[in-house]
Amino acid sequence: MWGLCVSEPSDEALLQAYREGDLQAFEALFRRYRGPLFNFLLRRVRDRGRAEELYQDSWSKVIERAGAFRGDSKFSTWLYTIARNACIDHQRKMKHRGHASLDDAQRGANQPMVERIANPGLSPDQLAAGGALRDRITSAVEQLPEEQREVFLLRQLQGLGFKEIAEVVGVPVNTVKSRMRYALERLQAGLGDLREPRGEGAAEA
Amino acid sequence: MSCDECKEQVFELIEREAVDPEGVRAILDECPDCRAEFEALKASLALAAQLPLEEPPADLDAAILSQASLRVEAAGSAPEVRESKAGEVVPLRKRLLQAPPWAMAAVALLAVGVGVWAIPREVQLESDLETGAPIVAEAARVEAAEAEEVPPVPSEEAFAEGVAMRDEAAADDGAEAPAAVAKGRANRSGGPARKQAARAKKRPEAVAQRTVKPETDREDLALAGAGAAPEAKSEAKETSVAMRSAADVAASAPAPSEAAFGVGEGAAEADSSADARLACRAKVEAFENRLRDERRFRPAPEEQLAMGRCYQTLGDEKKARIWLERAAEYPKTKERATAALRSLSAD
Repeated sequence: MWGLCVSEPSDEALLQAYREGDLQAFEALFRRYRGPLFNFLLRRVRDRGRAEELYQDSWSKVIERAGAFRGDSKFSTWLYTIARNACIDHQRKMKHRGHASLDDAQRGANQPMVERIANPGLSPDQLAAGGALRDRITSAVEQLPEEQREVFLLRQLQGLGFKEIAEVVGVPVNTVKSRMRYALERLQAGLGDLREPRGEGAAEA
Repeated sequence: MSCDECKEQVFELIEREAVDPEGVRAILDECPDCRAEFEALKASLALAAQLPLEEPPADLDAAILSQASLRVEAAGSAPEVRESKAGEVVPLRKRLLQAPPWAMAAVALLAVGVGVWAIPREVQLESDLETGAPIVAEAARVEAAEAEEVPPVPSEEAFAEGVAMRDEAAADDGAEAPAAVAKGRANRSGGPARKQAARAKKRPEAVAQRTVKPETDREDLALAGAGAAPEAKSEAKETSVAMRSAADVAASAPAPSEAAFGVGEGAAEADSSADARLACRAKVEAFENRLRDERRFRPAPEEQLAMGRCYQTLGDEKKARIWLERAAEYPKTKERATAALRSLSAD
């Protein structure tokens, strides 16, 4: 949905143009990232109202700090580091105030993942017809432990490389890969009943 | 390559980061177990790719783009730089370790201060929206009234209540002024306009200091217009000629609030006048200040419509279009915003 065209200017070039006063460059950059960033925040904090606040906060910080962006890292890494820090700040604030944790990933943790999110009684067609398939997938993703979920979302929504994700999250690349693998395994366990039988021809990556 | 090694790399093959993709593919062709694991993982990833995507709210996008635009305008060419360390963004864990406690405490105090300061401003703007109170016009009318009959107030009564007091005065007046204007006796009613004038009289030095650019500052307009203390008034007079003319036009219009803010049927006539532009400029400046200062400011549909029309009045077609298009997305303001957009296109 938000794919980039290779002939378009890079994120960093657009940011540089904005720093020099080109508002349209910012708009182009904004269009590239608004959707993925919003969905990253939405699935990370699992609350639309809070996601909207963090979305606006994150872009405000980008605007405020644009003049000081040095280009040592990619814009995408920079943006998601800002957004992730905003999430953590917000979570800490809520926790301090005694609110329920935004990332109460352990809700229902005593139940097996399959019991929490699987619904073997319906076929994929039935689920899709009622919009339940998407709900199942959303639920499966949101039930992932936070550290796995954020890696999965950065990879899935924005297509960041493992190295970039490592930079955003502040852990080694191999740790990121492990988290991604665990996330996929959990999703596999939770959504396994939805998988359609695949033919031989679909095997190659 | 063994099956275990293969299974280790199945995930990386899917993610196109396998060290030995050819070796993995060779095993997958030979080993059914490895193939099954590969297929299962791949299918799960395909399912997860169907995660529903949602759109961010349009009004948030408009606010963000406006903020970006303001930064460019404010800096002349480059957005303002606030951070000393060149926009460096580091993972939070490291950042917290680096931040000295006193800095965190200072930020917390600042946040509380801004929050307290923001409350009366918000109330004020909301009341402006509801009543459309032409503060600019009212301030100049009060000036004329004070020049005639308000007796001097002893200077011993002077006090410094700070910004909150001014905001309170503006909010009061904003809510009640239209009625006073309609009766044509605001200068004699002893109502809120007079209260504001009395407050301003108690703070002549503040009035004198605030006459640098009164035409763009709503609070300053009210204070300068109401300033009856001699030293303040003399300066206010020099700088508020345009302000008074705006007041005259707004007062003579059938619906002052609509003329001043470009809301309502009488807006078309007022929009074309320089006086309406003046009033709009004050309104826009207050609005842009909120956009700039309040990170989570989200204007209501009516405010979006009013701003769209003000930008239109001021000839800023791009911003006008942004806000009118947003306002057109709400049922309450859709019709009026669409009409304004049509007139924008016609222009």
